[in-house]
Amino acid sequence: MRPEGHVQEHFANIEVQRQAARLGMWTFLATEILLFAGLFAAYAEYRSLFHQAFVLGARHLDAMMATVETAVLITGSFAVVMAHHYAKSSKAGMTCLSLLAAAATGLAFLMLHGIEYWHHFEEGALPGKYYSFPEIQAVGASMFFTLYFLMTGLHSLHVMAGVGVLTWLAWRAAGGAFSNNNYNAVEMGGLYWHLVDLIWIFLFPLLYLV
Amino acid sequence: MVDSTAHADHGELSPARSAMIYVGLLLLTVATYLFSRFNLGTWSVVIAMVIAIGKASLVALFFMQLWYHRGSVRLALATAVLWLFLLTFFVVADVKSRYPLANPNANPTWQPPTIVHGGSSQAPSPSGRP
Repeated sequence: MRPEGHVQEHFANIEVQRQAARLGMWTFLATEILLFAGLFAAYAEYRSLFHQAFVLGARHLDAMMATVETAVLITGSFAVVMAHHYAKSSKAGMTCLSLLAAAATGLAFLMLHGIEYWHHFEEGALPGKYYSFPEIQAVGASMFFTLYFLMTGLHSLHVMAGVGVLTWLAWRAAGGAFSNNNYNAVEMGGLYWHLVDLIWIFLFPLLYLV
Repeated sequence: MVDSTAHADHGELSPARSAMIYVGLLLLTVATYLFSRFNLGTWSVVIAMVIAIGKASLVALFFMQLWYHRGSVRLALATAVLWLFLLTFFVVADVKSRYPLANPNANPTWQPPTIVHGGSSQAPSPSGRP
């Protein structure tokens, strides 16, 4: 990536260049929201068709674990906010540490979610025709777990990508790449990480609580 | 829509305010968990979604800085949310307004009406669902 501190010639000034980067990033995030929109619509449809199965399914999932996972992701978001702040203040060491802390929360989230998946594999609460969970035999129960795995799986892929981005940013921060005039990459990576948090904020109540 | 008037930062997010929002988000997370432990029927969905929208607004406005960065970036999010709403609304409206036999049968005991020669029919229930 080109050093953002240098204004490229087709931009009037650094602030316009920064705003263009933001708009580009937000356009990308809008397409990410639309990617998940299909799954949210499918959830709404199947929940209205198989209400009882979805209520039983949500009751079976580990809400306490999901609450902890939510707290972990929110902590990661806060760490990214602090990384943005430190990058703007030209504090390379603190920027790097905050980004690493955020990446660590991502890994912790993936680990906790892996434990959840492991339990579901063991009990047979799996998607589609692999569903063999004796405790919930309501019609549509396998659809609940299909959507559960699709939605949380797609989200977890985003968490993995986010961990990669944050680690790369931390590595660059350690090399002194960011300063008060050059923090666009941290801001854009941060926006992506917040979106991952934002999507989880809706997955959490829909799948685990209601 | 990036023009040259666009928009120096309108202030910025201070670490103290970030920390307050972080604590607020954690409290809302605990609150939504606790509310879900009570059996409030339809209200549990409403409460959970209101809290989720509140948390999402805090993240979008402050952590993602939309409070400070006005203009086109807000439009991008608003458009995505509008499309999400339209898609979900019309999908649910379709499913909810269907003739029961057009839906997958969620009640395995339900049988389609027996057609009796002579024109009359016997149906146990007009509804396809319990």
